[in-house]
Amino acid sequence: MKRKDFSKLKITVQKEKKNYFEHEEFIAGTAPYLRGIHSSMYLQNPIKNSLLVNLPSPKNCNAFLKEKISTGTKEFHFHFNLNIENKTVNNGISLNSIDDILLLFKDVDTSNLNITISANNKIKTTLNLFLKGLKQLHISTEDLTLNILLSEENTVATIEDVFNFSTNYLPKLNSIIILKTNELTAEIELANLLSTSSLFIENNILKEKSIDSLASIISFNLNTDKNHFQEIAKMRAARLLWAKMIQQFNPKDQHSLALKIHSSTNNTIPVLTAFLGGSQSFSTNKTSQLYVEEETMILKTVDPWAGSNEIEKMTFEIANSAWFLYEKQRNTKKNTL
Amino acid sequence: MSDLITNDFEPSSPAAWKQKLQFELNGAEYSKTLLTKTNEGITIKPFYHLDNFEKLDIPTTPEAFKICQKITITTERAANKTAINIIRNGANALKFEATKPFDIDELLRNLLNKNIDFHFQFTFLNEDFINILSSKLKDETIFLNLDIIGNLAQTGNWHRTLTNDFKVIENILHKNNIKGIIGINASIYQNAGANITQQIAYALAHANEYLHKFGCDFASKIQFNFATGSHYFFEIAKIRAFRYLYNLILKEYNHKTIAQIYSEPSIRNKTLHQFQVNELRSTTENMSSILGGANTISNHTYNPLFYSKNNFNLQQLEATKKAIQPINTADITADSYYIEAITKQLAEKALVIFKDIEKSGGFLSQLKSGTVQRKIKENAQKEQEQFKSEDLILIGSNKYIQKTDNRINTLETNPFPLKKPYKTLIIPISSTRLAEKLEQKKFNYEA
Repeated sequence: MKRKDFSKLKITVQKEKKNYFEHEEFIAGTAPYLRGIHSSMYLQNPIKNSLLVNLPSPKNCNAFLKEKISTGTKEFHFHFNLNIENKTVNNGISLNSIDDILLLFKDVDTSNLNITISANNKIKTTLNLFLKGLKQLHISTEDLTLNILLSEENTVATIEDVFNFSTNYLPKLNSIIILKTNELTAEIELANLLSTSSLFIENNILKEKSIDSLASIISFNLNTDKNHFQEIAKMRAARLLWAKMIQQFNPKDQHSLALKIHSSTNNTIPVLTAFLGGSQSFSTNKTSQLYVEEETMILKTVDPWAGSNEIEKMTFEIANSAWFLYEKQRNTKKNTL
Repeated sequence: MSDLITNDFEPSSPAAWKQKLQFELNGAEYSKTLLTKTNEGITIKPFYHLDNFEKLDIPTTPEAFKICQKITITTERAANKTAINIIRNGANALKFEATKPFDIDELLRNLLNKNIDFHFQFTFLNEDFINILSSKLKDETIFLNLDIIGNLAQTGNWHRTLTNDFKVIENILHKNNIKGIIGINASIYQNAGANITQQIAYALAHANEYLHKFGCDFASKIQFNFATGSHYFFEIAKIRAFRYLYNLILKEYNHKTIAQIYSEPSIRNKTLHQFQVNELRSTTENMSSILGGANTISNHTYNPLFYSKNNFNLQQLEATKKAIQPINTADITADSYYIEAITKQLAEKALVIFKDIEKSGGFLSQLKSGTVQRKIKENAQKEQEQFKSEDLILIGSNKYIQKTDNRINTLETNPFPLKKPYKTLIIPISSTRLAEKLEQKKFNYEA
């Protein structure tokens, strides 16, 4: 048989998408930041990975800390377990008294560290002990970048408590990271995060705080462990809705409209999720992060899943439902006041 | 559509985005900072956008992918025991590798009528044995993966002779009406260091030798076996571009089909040092194949470089399946600006290579002249240079090296098998791991 002649073969291109959404006209680096808070995302803005320090013994944590700092690690996430009342939980650095903080930071070079603090319970008591300990060790909080991750169920009251505390004692607080655990759906998770933060903002605007100082301090801790694609869509929707919510307070600084997202996770797929959704920080295993960054090439283009039928549809649906729920919650609260 | 969600903000253009990127470079060079050139000759842009949207019409299958595990037959009994165990752990496909004919009943005891796909990989070609096997498995879904051209490419020799090998395949094709008789082993090219466009083009040209010889009626009885590397989105696009081009070529034969694709993680980027990273690699590699639309995904044994062959690891694939369900993978990839753009670019570039091969007399003639081997070697060497200069990074091997890596002391198999020279008709295409040379040096030192 004679060979076929393939020389005239040609590729046929189609120009039409199956679906169009108005939000596809938004870009990264410009409000509402749906496709990411920076125009070049990870090409120029590396993700921050805090190394989790949560061994029960402060002494062991101290050794771990020293070893990691000696090899150049600057970002740490300390998870405390305030044992004074809670003796059942084993997860976290035992914190019984100020002595534990002294043990934890004994001879540690703390210069230029980026520290995230979370606790199983009583974040304010934890912060109090933490600060007193640092003071005794003559460590100035001015040299540290501090983030507070609220791991208990956050109410407006908790956020305000921590915010007021940090206004008084932590002038260099970088962010208060809030989360809603165990929410049934992505929509409810976002709606609750939005209404909690908008109530917090409203209360403090009444106290003559500026919207820009308030908006810049809040960031969301989003769950990335469930459904990979839904979590990606959720992060995109979260940025859009945050911008929409903050816009109502007329901020002066455009950056106030940009939502910073934190995700905590330990597996490879959620690390992919965090990057593909456009997170700014996570606490995870370093090897997974390095692998994704150095070998998969997924950081070479911004918001790589944009345009996808399913991702755009989910982004649209999550954003719409979450906004609807958020407005409903606000109206209910207003009517009850 | 409701504009409730978007009404507070003005739309922005790609031009505005580009301007912002330039402004924020702060003197850094645009191309060095924001553009990524790949070995396929494609430049990854910092963003892809709705404007200038283009896509190809990719044939897809709505069927869920099958989870497969490879089993090397040492004894029929042992392989059967492993297979039963694997099925209990959730696999719905098995791939048996054999170097000689085996006792079929013994191997497949208690495995039939269970809705399992059976894949085979033989290093031999035995017509009688294959006829018996396929008649015994006539009610099952089986893929024999016979590939005399793949065997030639890999070993440098025909099983017997060109005429004899083709005759045997022809007889088997006429005698057996089963789903997968021929299996194009395109993983050879990936594992030897071919880039993605080369892999697509060689898989097509390789298949076209069979189409040319046996006609298009057999087009749907071909399974394509790919090895998947860690370049996440390009690997997704590879399968899509391939599917598109396969149908484009079949059109010349007045035929169309949805290509049957089997995929497993590449060996090329796996490392002895910091072996845990191999797990991460195969996790994203499998994910790429699933999203690309492969029909069967096979994971490696727990760690192919370390352990004797029949350890298995399905949990990782199950976790991946769970993480992405219940979404239709074709709807996820379709219309993604980036994936559609690179799918088109890969297809265009692979088509050029395919046409060149056909113009010069086809894949067999290019194998005989050593052209295919030379082209693969060129890309493999380029990658090796990039590995040396750390432009291509393998975590734990050429960068982020851990001081203590005692795994080296617990090897069950020799990771550096001796390649004995033998007489060949053509230059064989052999798989080479990027870290192999470096490891050999370190290994001698550590041992």
